[in-house]
Amino acid sequence: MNNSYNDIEQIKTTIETQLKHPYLMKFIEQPVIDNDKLMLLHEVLDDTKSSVAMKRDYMVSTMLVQVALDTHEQVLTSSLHNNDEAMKSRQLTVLAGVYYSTLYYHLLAKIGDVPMIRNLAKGIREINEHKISVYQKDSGGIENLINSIREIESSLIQKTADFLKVPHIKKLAAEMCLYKRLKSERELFIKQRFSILFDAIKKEVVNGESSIARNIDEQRKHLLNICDYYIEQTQLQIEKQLEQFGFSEVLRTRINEMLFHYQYVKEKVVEEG
Amino acid sequence: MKLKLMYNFLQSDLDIIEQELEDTIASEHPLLQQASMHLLKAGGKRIRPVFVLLAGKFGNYDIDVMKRVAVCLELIHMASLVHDDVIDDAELRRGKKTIKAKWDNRVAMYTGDYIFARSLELLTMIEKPDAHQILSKSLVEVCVGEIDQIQDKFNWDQNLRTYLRRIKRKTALLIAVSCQIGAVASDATEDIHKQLYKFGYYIGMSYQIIDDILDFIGTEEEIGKPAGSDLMQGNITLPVLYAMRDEQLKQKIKTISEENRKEILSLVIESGGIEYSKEISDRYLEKALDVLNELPDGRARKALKGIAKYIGKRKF
Repeated sequence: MNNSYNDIEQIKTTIETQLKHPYLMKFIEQPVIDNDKLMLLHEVLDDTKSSVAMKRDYMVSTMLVQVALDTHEQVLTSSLHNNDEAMKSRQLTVLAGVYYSTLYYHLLAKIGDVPMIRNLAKGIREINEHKISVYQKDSGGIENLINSIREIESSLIQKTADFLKVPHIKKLAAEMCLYKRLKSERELFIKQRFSILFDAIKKEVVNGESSIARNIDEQRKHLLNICDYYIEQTQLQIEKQLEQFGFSEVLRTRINEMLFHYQYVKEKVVEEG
Repeated sequence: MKLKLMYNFLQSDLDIIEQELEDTIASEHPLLQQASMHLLKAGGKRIRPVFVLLAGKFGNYDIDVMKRVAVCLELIHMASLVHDDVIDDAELRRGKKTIKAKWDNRVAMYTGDYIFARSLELLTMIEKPDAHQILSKSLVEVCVGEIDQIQDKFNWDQNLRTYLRRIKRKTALLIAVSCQIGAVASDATEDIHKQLYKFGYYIGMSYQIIDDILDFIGTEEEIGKPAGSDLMQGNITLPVLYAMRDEQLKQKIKTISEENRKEILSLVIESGGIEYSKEISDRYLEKALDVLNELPDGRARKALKGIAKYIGKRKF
C-alpha cells in the first residue's frame, strides 16, 4: 500500500515540475492536480504489464491534459474586469492551458507513442463536446446531462483504460468522478446559490414538468433533491463495483473515506436543520 | 501576379483540403459546428496547406496523406486564432465577428480546444513519429514564445536578438514546420526536409518583419487595424528597435499614447527604421531563395520561389 502511495506522490511531483513556469506562476493560480484521478490512473496502469517508464509517461501525459482542460475552465466568460492585472491573468490562463496541452503532446511524441496521442486527443474532443452541451443547457434530459458530466470528468481515464485493455475499472472511475463533481456542484450551489450544473438541471426540469412553478425555496429544495438522488445512485454504483472487483487497498481506502465524509456532512446538515 | 496563380496546379488538391477542413471540424454538437464553421468560412490565405503540399512534391506525393498534414496545420493555426482572440479580447477577425464576440469566451475556449484536438487526431492517422516530434516540439516553443511576448510588453530594453527570437516563435516556426512535415510525410530525404525547414523559417521571418513594417505604413483599410496598434499594445518591433537607438527618440517613444500616436509613428518612420527593417527582411528573403537553389528543380520549386518573391513585395 505504501508503495502505491509513494508511486503516486512521485508522479505528482513529476507533473508539478512539468507545470512549473516561473512567469505563469506569478499571474495564475497554481494548477490543481486531482489526486483521485491520479489514483484511478495508477490503478489502471498497475493492472498492466507496462514498464515503469511507460506507466509514468502515461500518467503524466493524461494528467497534463486534465490540467490543461481544467485551466481553460478558469477563463472568465465576461471581459468586464479589464484592468491590466485581470487582463494579464486572463491572457496567461489561456496560454497556460495551451502550454500544458502542448506538453502532453510533446511528451508522447518524444517516446513515439502516436496511438496514445490519438487516444487522448479523442478524449479532449469528446470532453469539449460534452462541455458545450452542459454550458448551452441543451443535453435533452437530465439523464443525458448527468452522463455529460460523467464523461467530462472521467473520459480521459476511461479512454486510457480502454487503450490499455483494463475495462473493469471504467465503471468505477466514471462513477467516482461523477460522485465527486456532483458533491462539489452541490456545495457550490448551497454556498453561492449558483452552479453550472444546477442551472442546467433547472432548465431540464422546467422543460420536463410544469409543476416547477414553485417559490424559490421550494425550487432550491427540489433541485437539491434531484442532485441528492443522483449522488445516492452513484454511491450505489460505486459500492456495487467495489463488491464485484478486486481493486487495490489504496483505492478502497480512499473511496470509503470519500463516501463516509459525504454521509457525515449530510447527517450533520439534517441534525442542524 | 496574384499569389494563387503561382500554385494554380494545386487547385484541385486545395479544393480537397477545403472539404477535408469542413469534414474534420464537423461536430455532433450544433454550436461547436457553427462556431468552427464561422471561423473557417471567414476565409484565410491557407498558406500553411500550400507550403505542406508544395513540400510534399519533393517526395512521393500522395494527396490522401498530404491532406491530413495540411489540414492539421491549418487547424492548429485556426485553434490558435480562436484562443488569441480571447487573449486580445478581439471583436473582429478577417472582417467578421470573432467567436468570443459572437458567443463568449467560454464558447471560444471550448471551440479552440476542440479544433486543436481534431487537428492532432487527424495527424495521428499518419504513423510517422518524426512528424509528431517536429510538430510537438515547435508547438511548445510557439506557446512559450507567446508567454514571453506578454512578459516583454512595454519592455523598452529589448534587442535585435530577442526580437528575432520572438518572431521566429510567433510566425516562422509554424511555416518552417509546415514545409518540413510536408516533406517528411512524403518520405522526402532528410536533406530535403531540412532544407525546406530552413526555407520556411527564412520566409516566415521575412513575412513577419514585413507585417511589422506594415503596422507603421499600412492604412487601416489595408491592415485591418489602426496603424501603430502593435506599439500601442507594447509590442516592440524592428522599426521601433531601430528608432530607439537614438536615446532621445527612445524617451519620446516610451510616452506613446492615443494622443501622440501619429506623431510617434512619423518619428519612427523618419528614423529610417522602415528602410532598415526592409533590408533585414530582404536578407531573409535572399537566404530563402538561396536554399531553394539547392532543391531539385520543378514546378514546386518554382512556386515556392514565386511565393517568396510575392511575400517580399506584399503591401498587406
